[in-house]
Amino acid sequence: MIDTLTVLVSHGLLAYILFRAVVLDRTLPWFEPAERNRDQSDKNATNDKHSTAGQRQQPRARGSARRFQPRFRNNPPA
Amino acid sequence: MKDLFFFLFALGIIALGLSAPFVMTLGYMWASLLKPQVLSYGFFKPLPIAMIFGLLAFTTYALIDRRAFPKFTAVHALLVIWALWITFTTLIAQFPDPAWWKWDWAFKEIAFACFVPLVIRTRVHIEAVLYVMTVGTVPLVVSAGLKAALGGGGYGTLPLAGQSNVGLAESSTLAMYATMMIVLVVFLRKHTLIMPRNWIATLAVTGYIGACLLAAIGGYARTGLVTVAVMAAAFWWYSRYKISLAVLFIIVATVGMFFVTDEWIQRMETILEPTSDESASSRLVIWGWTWEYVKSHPLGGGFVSYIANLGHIPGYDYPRAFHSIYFEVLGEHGYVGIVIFLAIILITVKMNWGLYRRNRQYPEMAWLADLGKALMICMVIFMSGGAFIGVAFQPMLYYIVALTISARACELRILDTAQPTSTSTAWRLGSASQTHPAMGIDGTRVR
Repeated sequence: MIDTLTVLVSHGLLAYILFRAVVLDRTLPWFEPAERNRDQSDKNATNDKHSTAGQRQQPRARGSARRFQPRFRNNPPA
Repeated sequence: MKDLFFFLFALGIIALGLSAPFVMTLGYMWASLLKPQVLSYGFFKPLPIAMIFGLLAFTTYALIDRRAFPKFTAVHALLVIWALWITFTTLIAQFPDPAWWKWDWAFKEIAFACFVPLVIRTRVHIEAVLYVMTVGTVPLVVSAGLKAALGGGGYGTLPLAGQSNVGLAESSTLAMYATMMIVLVVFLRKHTLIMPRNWIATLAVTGYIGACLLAAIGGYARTGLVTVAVMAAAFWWYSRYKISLAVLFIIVATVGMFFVTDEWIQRMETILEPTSDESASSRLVIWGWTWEYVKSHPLGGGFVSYIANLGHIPGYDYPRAFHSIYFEVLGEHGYVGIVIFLAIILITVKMNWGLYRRNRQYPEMAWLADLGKALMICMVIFMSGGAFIGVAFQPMLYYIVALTISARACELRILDTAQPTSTSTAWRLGSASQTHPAMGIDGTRVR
């Protein structure tokens, strides 16, 4: 009885989910652009303790970005 | 009646799959995880439904959906090497007939995991896979929880899938799988696009989590307690509400202790004293035997090589299985096999950690960060629970690996469509000025 009931309910729901997935697959853009450095006001994006969502992005301390700049930009040749 | 229902459901999947090929892949996963044949008793039982879905998935992909290839990752390469290595060890197997029997289904799972990232490409696709893993296995997971709640609990006594004891219908395997599903359903509740997020969904998810916990604990499997503890620790570690969550866990555990039996408590106590229990102590003997066996068989004995321990385990007049993913792989595929297997697991964990770490501070990418975190916790649960059960070739591991590759590819595609607005992100996005071949400039799909 329980087996039959769970099969009926879950597969009815799964059929709906698959149908919705196909509909969304056809209507939503596949990969929406991410605007990563916008002003992030959504503080509840994740309840993760490490999240900094909602905080204004600070310039990175690491030098990775500068690595690609011409060497003489900040220290012009004499 | 159930046969007709499954048959019509499978036909419905095929009909949907003809217009959206990724549904065929979902059909294969459904057939592989649930094994509807073992739940039916009539004309549906002998149908090779997984093979049908597998062939249809490959065919529809090749004919109408072959585009937007994912980036080839180290895990993808390792999966291919893994498939080749298990084929080699089967060729030199000590017991060829049972080895080829196991190779037949193990190879298919690994091969399909290599294929999944080609088809599962978007957030909706990934979500649909998670729904197949959670909702599709309700007849096993939730029915086990309900039966345990109604007093049918006990080790090996839960009547799952007609007592078939295969795949997820084995008590310990089901306990671990049910715990993993809690993590995935929590993710789905928070980030779903497919289902509405209203009070009915909250009620359904709460009931599902309760049933999963009952399935994990009510099966009297020690693996269930271990995996639930690992899951609780992971949730606690990643939560910003540590005190509240700790109090909640203590309340749930305290209330739960009123409902468990003395038999359950005695069984769980053997986790700390394995020598006091015959089943637990025999595992230690088997693992010791495997360690010695692989010294004389460094390439492994091939699939099902545990048969060789017949007569070596005191008190048993039949061969005992490895009862651990690590010793299963070590005994069957040798030192090389265990290195490849661990590399797949560890690199998958690292990829998921990367997904989480890179995306957690961006609200529009929070779903990807949480997906990485959920998959990482699932892998940790698998690594801890799998230490006591031989499920190294069950599909659940390979689907999580495949989803990780899909999620990473999805992240790269999103970054490819992003327009850099300052130099601070330009270096980070790398090839941001390029758009993916499958995408238009505005991020819409090109047909």
